[in-house]
Amino acid sequence: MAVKITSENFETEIIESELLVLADFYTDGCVPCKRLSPILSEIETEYDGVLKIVKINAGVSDELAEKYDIFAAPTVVFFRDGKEIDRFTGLKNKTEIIEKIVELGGSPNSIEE
Amino acid sequence: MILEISKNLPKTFAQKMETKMPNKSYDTIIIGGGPAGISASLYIARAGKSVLLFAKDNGALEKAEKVDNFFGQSEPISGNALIKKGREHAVRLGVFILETEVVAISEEDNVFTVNGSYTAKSVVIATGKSRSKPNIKGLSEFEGKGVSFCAICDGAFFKNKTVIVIGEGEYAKSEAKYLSAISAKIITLSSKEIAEIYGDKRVRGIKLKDGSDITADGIFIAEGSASALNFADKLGIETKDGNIVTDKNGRTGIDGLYACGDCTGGLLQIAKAVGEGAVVGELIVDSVKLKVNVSA
Repeated sequence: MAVKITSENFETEIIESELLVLADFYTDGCVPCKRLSPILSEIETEYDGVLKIVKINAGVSDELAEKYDIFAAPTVVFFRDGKEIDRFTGLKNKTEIIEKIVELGGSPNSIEE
Repeated sequence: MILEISKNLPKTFAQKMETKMPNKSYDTIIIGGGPAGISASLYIARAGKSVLLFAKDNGALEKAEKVDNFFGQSEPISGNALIKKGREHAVRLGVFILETEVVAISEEDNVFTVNGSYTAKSVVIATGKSRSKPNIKGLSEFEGKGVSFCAICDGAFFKNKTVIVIGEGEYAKSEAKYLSAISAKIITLSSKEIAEIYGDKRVRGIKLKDGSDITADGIFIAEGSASALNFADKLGIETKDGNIVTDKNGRTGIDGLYACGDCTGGLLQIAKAVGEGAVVGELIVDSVKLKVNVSA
């Protein structure tokens, strides 16, 4: 299950992560966010060991939303080595998200044996 | 406002409708009282299911002076007259019609809630052709960077900040009301007053045509009535070229949510809208039967 992020664990879970991180900024009441959630759960299972998926309630952790200039939900931000490397806004299907992950070097083949 | 029943209808029926108030829960809610929505309602109501139909106006047919290409009309008929006949037909079959604009829709655990009060397990979007975005310089550039089409989705990003709601109707009021519980200041403007939305990597404000400037953190677009695209934004359903994407039977990507008629694109004709409404209506009836059989 995706780790819930607040400013308390942001540093350890995202900035210090050795894996590619997909951070899902969502808000309560946002139906597209709810639709994205099960898609990300499937991807999390399939990309275990390659990708870390975390969830940030932007309505609660508004300082994180402000810091990363998030103005729309859902917004998905990708981090590698503690830095933002890409993002998209709005609901996307599983294929589109996987294409983005692969583009960012998060192929399942990159799992070390 | 409850639909004003035609004086031509049987008196007993009119009397009945005058005193009848809508229930809160229906098998199906239909948004849009044009040919597609009415057609869907006929099939669902004839199958004995309860239907609440929201019909704010007569949509595109309001301006159709003569319709001369629709089956069964031996003489040309005005769009308004055709709609009136369709709605009388629907009411005769037990469809409840509300002449109210739909300003809010949400879904949780496969139950849809419309305007915060009415619930149903299936919803049909038949709102007609979507409006285009207001033609304001900078709007597209700042979409997702402070320009939003959904207060409930994005309002949280503007906690204690200043936001502008663009629009003057009921939909704009509804969005402003939602934001009033979150944002520090809400300014409502018509798109006609606005020259430009400006900012850097995010929205910073707008310039008005009279030369004045208003600084703001967020801008919510709610011009005119809530359109199919607004509902799509709120529910997270796929759109393409301004139309709702469905399969050939009117299913969207969300269980229980269907779309038919002009809002799905293609041929913008009454016959096509009626046909799509029929397909969706039958599909809903079949899906209800299936659920009953599965749970039995």
